[in-house]
Amino acid sequence: MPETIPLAPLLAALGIMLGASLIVERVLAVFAWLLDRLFLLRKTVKSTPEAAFEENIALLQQAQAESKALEEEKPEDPVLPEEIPARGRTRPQVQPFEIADEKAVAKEFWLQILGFLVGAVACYYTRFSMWQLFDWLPGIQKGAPQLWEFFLTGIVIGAGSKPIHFLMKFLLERKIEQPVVGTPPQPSTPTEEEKPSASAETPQGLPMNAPVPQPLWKNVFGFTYDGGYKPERLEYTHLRTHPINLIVIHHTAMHSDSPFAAIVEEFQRKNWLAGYHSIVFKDGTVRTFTRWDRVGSHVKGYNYRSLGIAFHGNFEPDPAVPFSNPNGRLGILVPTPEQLEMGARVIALWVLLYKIPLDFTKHIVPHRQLAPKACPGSNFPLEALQEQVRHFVNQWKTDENAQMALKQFQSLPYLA
Amino acid sequence: MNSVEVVSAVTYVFFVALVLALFVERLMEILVATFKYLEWRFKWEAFWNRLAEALAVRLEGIIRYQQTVAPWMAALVQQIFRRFLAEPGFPGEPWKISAAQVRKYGIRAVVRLVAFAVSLILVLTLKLDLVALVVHVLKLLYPIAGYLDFLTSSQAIHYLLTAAVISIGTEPLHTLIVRFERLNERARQKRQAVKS
Repeated sequence: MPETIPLAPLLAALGIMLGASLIVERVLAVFAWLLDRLFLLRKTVKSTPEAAFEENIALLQQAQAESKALEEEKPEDPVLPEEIPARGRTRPQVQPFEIADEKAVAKEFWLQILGFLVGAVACYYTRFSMWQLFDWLPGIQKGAPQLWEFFLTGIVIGAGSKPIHFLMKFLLERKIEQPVVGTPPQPSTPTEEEKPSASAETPQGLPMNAPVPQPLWKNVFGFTYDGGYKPERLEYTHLRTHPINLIVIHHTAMHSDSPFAAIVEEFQRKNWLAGYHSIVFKDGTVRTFTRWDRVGSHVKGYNYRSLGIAFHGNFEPDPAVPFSNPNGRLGILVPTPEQLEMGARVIALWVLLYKIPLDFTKHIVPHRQLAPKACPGSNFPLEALQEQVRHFVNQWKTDENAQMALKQFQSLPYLA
Repeated sequence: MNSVEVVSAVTYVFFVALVLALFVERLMEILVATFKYLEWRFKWEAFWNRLAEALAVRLEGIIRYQQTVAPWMAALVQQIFRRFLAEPGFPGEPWKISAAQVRKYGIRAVVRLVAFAVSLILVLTLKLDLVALVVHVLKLLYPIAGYLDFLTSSQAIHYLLTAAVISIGTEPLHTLIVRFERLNERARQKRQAVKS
């Protein structure tokens, strides 16, 4: 290994690679555009008006069948899916694999091949080989690059400029030459003039430290509603076809300290677009997951006419129950008072907003009443929650402020 | 070699390793894209479905008779089983082995093997020895790091480990470098504290 490795030639070599990869990137962008046109053209040429009509009819029939199945879905054999199958159960089934997006597969392949070829040609004409970067390794013989080196370099360059940027950043962040000796520049401290004034005003003329006025409904109900996690993704799907007349109470069965993102991830892992409508955390924070004007995915057979609220945590201590929380290994074993109060507020708001009967036997029920599950856990204080829901509903029904807040709330997006 | 030169040499060798890891990653991307294209053109999907069926039968057999195997084996089988399980959906749905999952893990396993083989060829061609370098630097930082001597006993192990590091791609290698630098920085701060 030589004692000094100069940075300049390495960066120069990477610069050439970067230039070549930028060319490849542009060529690939044009090629991708052409491929898209080509696929579109082939589809247009192949499809006649009759074929298009038949295709539309088939799609319509499929949609109708799916809607019917959704309406008729009923709870089935009470077998927990995560259970290991016991002796005597049905034969294992296989969910067959089929290529979902053939166009994407073809496009990916052709873009990779073209990227590689353009990269190799660019290297050949610039006489640049990736092997030049290895010149400082012991035992490497310097010499004119061979033809195979251009192909290998083309493989790297074919990915575009991002990897080369990555390599350059690596080299520049870590100095490999003798650093210049001297005092490093001191971070400049802002002068009095540069410092933001405490009494600065916003463009609207309000002092910067003035409290932002909260909407009335936030003050009354105690939480916000923003349509949940990426509400626009449900714009054309999970549309409600039935009025809401059921509220289902869940626990998330996860660790009570896990973040909102973990709950979202759990549903995304299942490839479900929707989930609970609202989630209440142990500190009383309420987060919307699925927008309330769309069908959630939280209780089989009843999603189409229900709203689901989940209390974050696992309130089932019985170790015999799958995914339980014995000894509190998944955080709190009972909901906190703040959690219970905010959950009651959400349920009370739903009762008033969607005119759901205040009936805890048929209309506001725990998940376990509708499915063979322990949810929301045997530790969950259902009666205390019911008591608080009653309290808030009765209070908000008679309070003028609450009625006004309700009207304001109804005008929020993702509620229609 | 003074410390600047050592850092310089280490940076360079890691840079070379990164370039190679990038190359291997790109090569695998091209191979996978090619495989998927051929799979689509020649309708190889049936292979994964057959494999999933065979696996489902095999796993079910082991799970049913898991009382007869060692607990660790039962735990392992359950892990595999869950990995290949299709999304369970709602309670009441029978469990299914997903051919897509089988394909995903199948391709991943083959890619790892091929990546390792390619990396090994590159490492042997360039005589790149990350292990010797790391051990050398660690010994400079911590003179008591003699417990690492067992790593210096065989050159073949060096090349195998280097190939393994390169084959896992740029991201883990980058993490490794960052951790290594943190270690270096901490040692430097300690030395300064002792001097002062």
